[in-house]
Amino acid sequence: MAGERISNKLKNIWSNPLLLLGFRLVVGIVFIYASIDKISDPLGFSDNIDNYHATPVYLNNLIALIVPWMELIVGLCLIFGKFIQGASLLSAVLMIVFIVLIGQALFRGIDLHCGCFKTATDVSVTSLRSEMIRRILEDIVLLGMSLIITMNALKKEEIPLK
Amino acid sequence: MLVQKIIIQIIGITSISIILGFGRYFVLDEHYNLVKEKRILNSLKSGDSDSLIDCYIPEQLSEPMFIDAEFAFCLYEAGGVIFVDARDSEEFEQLHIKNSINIPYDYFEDFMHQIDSIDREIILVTYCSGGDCSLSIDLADHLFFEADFYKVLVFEGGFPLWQEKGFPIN
Repeated sequence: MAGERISNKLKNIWSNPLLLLGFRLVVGIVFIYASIDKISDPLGFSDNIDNYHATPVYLNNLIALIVPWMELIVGLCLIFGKFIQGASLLSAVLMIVFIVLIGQALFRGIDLHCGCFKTATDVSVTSLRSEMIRRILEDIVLLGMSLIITMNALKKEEIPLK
Repeated sequence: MLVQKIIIQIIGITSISIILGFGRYFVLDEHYNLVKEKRILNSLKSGDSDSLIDCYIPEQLSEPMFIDAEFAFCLYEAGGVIFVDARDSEEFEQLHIKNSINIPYDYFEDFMHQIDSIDREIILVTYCSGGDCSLSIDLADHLFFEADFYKVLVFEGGFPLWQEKGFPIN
């Protein structure tokens, strides 16, 4: 009974329209802000993607050309409430991709600043490791917000997801 | 129905992103390849010429060139060369090649004043963390093609190899 009550309360909090609007604004603004630099300098972004050593180099210019626009459109859709189901799902997928990319770089000891592989001692000497962990934590929070927006957007349709 | 709607929305957002991305590329007439190629430099090696000097550099270079540790040390010993550390200041301050200067590639423009004060005749050797680190190549390209230095070399092994060889460090 008590568990059910807590679960219902949580559901009420998560489906609070003001909270959802806040989440949409936060995730949307973060996506738009992150996209602007990348759109204006796709080559720089392509070099950054190289540094993750997770994608074939020959694809990185194409990724750098398309992904920032996707971030911008997803951000605008979230803020203005258009195509909300698709946009929120894409935002969650993008966040998962970012978390995996930074996580694998952290695990493999890659310095994202220069794309160099470092030894464990090098990594602990610089503030690199804490910086990467901070970015992963930020992305996890944003992923949580994206998932809550997605779940509510799907629920609003009142049609089971089958 | 809902699944279809979501798929259509995702395809729509992705398609618009592709159109805008390619539109930007073609409208702005960007000068880079859509399919990226890894930048590979030619190498200068010790004893490449008949010169008695073991680290001879041709008068005219068409682009920056890679050098190995022995070539770099030969230049270091001969003098008349500046070693340029392309890593960030934090790493430079910890350890660097003795007498090298720091021009972090990411803050290249902040160091223009320092770059302008360097004689264009001098040989510049850029280095970073070796391995997959491309900062030294990027910096060398900037120094050669934009700052008009005409003898720019890249020490491929970077600081880790220099340190491993027991060459002078600060």
